[in-house]
Amino acid sequence: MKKVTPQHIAQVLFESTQGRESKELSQDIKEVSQLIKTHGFLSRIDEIVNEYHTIYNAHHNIKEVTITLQERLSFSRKEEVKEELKKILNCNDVYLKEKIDERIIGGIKIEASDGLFIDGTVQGRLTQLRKILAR
Amino acid sequence: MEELISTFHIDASLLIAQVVNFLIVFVVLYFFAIKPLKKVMESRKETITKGLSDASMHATLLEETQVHYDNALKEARKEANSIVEEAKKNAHIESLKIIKDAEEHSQRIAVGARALLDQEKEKMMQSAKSELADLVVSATEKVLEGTLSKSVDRALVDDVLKQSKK
Repeated sequence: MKKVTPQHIAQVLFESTQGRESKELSQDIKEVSQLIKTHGFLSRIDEIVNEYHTIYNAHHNIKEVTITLQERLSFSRKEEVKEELKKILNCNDVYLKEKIDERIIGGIKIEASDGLFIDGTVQGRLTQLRKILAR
Repeated sequence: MEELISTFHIDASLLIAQVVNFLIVFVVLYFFAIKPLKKVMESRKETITKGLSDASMHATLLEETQVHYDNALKEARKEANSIVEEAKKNAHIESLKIIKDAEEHSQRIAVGARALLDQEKEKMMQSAKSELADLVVSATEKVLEGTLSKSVDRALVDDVLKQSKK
């Protein structure tokens, strides 16, 4: 018998909820919850949720992006940045996570789920400058 | 004849007796004196002859020995000279080798010391550069901290997003 993993459960959850009406979803979720309980995955629910996100995002071409800034962005500015990131990452939508770090002095650091990494912070540029000067 | 015998009063029997007497004396002398004496003389002559011959042989032998000795001495001197020359030659070669080895060794030490010096110099330069870089970056950080306006920060973010699209 094949071993059931959180990935399998996430896949089942995704496939069973795809294209279903919200009325039908409650029954599906109940069934999946039973599956989670039966296989003793309640303690690993976070893993299942993360896997579900990964599968869902991959299916809908949504990229998770973490941006690091010195100050929190306004809503409108965040939307602007999101639009720019959609163009950069060539995806349908962007799930944006914002991190605040005063040490970066200014600029932005972008870390996408597909591996894209752009350090456009003042601190990053100063680190580059330090490397060039020390060479 | 008879006249002669009567003139000189020769008595025949006496003469015969004297002849016999002479013969007896002669035989006795011959066997007991002359013959042994002759033998001793011959023996003595042989001894002298042998002595002379031996002396001559020894003289020749001595002469040959002297020649051999001289030759051997000459050879020994020649060989000794050759050994001394060879030793001098070897000592010269050895001394040249020692000098060459010492020169090579000193050159190696000099090269090693120079490499070490260069290495130390490079390390110092690197350290100085690193310290200078740290100083410049720290100073820039201090200057920029809290002085970067919102508009500048926005422009920076826009620039990063614009550059990332390329």
